[in-house]
Amino acid sequence: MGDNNNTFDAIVIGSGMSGGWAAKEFCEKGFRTLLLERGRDVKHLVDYPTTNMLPWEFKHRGQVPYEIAKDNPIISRCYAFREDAMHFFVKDKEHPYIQEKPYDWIRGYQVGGKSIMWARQTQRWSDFDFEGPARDGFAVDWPIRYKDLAPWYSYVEKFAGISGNKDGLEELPDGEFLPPWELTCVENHFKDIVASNYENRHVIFARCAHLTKPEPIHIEQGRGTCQARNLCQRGCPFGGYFNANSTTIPWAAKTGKLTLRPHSVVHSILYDDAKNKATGVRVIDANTKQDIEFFAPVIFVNAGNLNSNLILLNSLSKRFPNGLGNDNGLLGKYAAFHNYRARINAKYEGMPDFKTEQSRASGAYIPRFRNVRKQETDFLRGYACTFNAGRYSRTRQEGFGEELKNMLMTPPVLGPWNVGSQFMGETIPKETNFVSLDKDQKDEWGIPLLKINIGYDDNDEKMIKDFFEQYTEMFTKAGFTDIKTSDSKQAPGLDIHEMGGVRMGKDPKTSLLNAWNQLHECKNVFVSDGACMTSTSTQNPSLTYMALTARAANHAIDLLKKGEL
Amino acid sequence: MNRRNAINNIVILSIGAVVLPSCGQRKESLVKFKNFSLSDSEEKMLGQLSDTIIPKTNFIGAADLKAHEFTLMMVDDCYEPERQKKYTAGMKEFDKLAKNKYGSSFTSCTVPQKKEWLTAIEKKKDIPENVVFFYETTKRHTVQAFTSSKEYMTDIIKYKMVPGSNFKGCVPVKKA
Repeated sequence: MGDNNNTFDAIVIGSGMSGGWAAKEFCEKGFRTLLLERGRDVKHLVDYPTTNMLPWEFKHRGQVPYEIAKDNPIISRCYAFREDAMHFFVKDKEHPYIQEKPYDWIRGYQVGGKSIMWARQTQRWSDFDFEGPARDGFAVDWPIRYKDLAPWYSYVEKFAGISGNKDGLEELPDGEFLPPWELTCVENHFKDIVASNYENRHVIFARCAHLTKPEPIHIEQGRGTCQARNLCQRGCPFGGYFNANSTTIPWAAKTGKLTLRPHSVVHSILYDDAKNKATGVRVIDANTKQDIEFFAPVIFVNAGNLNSNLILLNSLSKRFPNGLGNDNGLLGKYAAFHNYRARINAKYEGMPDFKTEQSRASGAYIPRFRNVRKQETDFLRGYACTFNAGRYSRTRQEGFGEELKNMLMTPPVLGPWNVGSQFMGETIPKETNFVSLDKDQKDEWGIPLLKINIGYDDNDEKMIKDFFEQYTEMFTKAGFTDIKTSDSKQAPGLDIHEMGGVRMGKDPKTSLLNAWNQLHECKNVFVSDGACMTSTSTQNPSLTYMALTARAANHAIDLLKKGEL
Repeated sequence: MNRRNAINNIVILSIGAVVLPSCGQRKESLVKFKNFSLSDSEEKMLGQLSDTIIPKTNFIGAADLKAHEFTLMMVDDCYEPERQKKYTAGMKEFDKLAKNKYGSSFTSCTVPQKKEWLTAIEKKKDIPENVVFFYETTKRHTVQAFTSSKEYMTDIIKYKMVPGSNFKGCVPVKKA
């Protein structure tokens, strides 16, 4: 193991949503970067085995066989775990963890991580979100405000390609948008009803990471217009949506500065007690189980929220006997997520003479309207919602024989409008929601198993109740009928918006990371995935991780150039 | 997953495979699946049932698509053991009741008798629950085999894998 081969200018742990950005920023600025990924390589276009498969080419027509579902109850609860994308998800037994409370940990161990299968919703945070903890007295104050992140939102939006309207909403700032798809008739109807009945409630088109009209930068990436196939979870042959595989990683690779190393399970970050800094990482080769050490002056931890927590907790040294940077004992604590338990569905008998045509890859969005400008309910914070209204065609399937066959071959009858909203609630980070390492049990690579102790609380229950009340009222005012609310009671984690444990903050006594995502106590280690989140707000978080990562990486580059890391 | 694919492939090959009859008395050959076996006459009956549900006309039907093999594969691969047992028990009961009613097994029934029997099951009146389950499961997967076939999706619904980004949120419904 020659030093030259194992020494880089920067190491990035994790090649998904945020790690790809760190690698891109370092490589573009000329830094030799090692990008570590614990799973296999997935090359854009090449490693999307199902992307062009036709419906009848799937043996079980999309269904997951019983044996697989039985062996993998956790991952089988994920909506995207279907025959066409099963290969991108971690199976339960391959990577066990300990549920001290029920927790569905949904993972994708491969180059690109979960950015291959994500739902591609990209809403910005506003100061109403960043100021939340300080105003409402929970967690700690965020060390940054919207003005700190706004230019970096723009930076990542332009490169990734985000479509949306400029809606002019203070609570959901506008960005750099490609044209949006249209709202449907009934979505527009609902938008009008909501606007005329409520102050500060808005129905907009959701901002999403789809190239509705590629700019030159996207063409240069080799990506093209989204064709609205809605088969994104397979990987896109057009590069029509953002994933790390089509966008950040190849961009980093073409600089010639990138070393991508799949099958590299990071065991821990190496800390030098004499130099008072991290010097590299210890990797276990996933296949050979061989121990390898890599070195660099700066390390970015983007392993995916809970795994970033795990790596820091497992990085032990004389200086940090309880985990890297963990002087205050808060590492792994104040974990949070988004509450995705609740839904509301209804029908609309109006507008029978109108329908939609063709398809789109996203829908409407209703930003949080509860407790935005002031506290107004008996629970803290609030919820955003999706909103979708469409008509579905129905083919009658009665009887048998030629009668049935004729029905199946007759153009289907348009049903009434179906409308529905998915609730996305902010959860309050608490010390009692935490992850830790098991003292005895280890995985195949000799790494302690993660114990997850994360649950709902009374605030979450009150918020669901309010959502049912408010949306039932809004739906009723819009003339929707057959309104049905449902609470899936699903465990935390299935939202796949896990956050926290290595939170940002101003004070090293009460937080792990500073305003630049550096560990307060080990400045050359940066954490900029979901683990850094001080609070969760309600927006789909990936865009914020991307912006935080680009910002942190460029700060690290400035410090390195000045010799300050 | 590769291992599982290999197993599945073996299963496909074994559909229709014949196990040699044992010596002595004449015994029906068995069609083996991972989780259950059928006699070849039962498999034949299922083929006829599918064919009755979606017959061949000037457009392909269940028999062209081997819809009964698809149905059995789905029951074998995607159903929990209890529902598999219910399905095969329902199948035997289906044939037994046909025999009681018409004096011959479903396979030997006349076309009008077959239709009468299926009509009776559709009405669900005095029909054992597992027979209804067997029939509805077979119908569902026969319809699925038909509506997800290349021929149906290409010629009838004109499925486009790449629809293009031409979404219209509000267009008038054209009156026929």
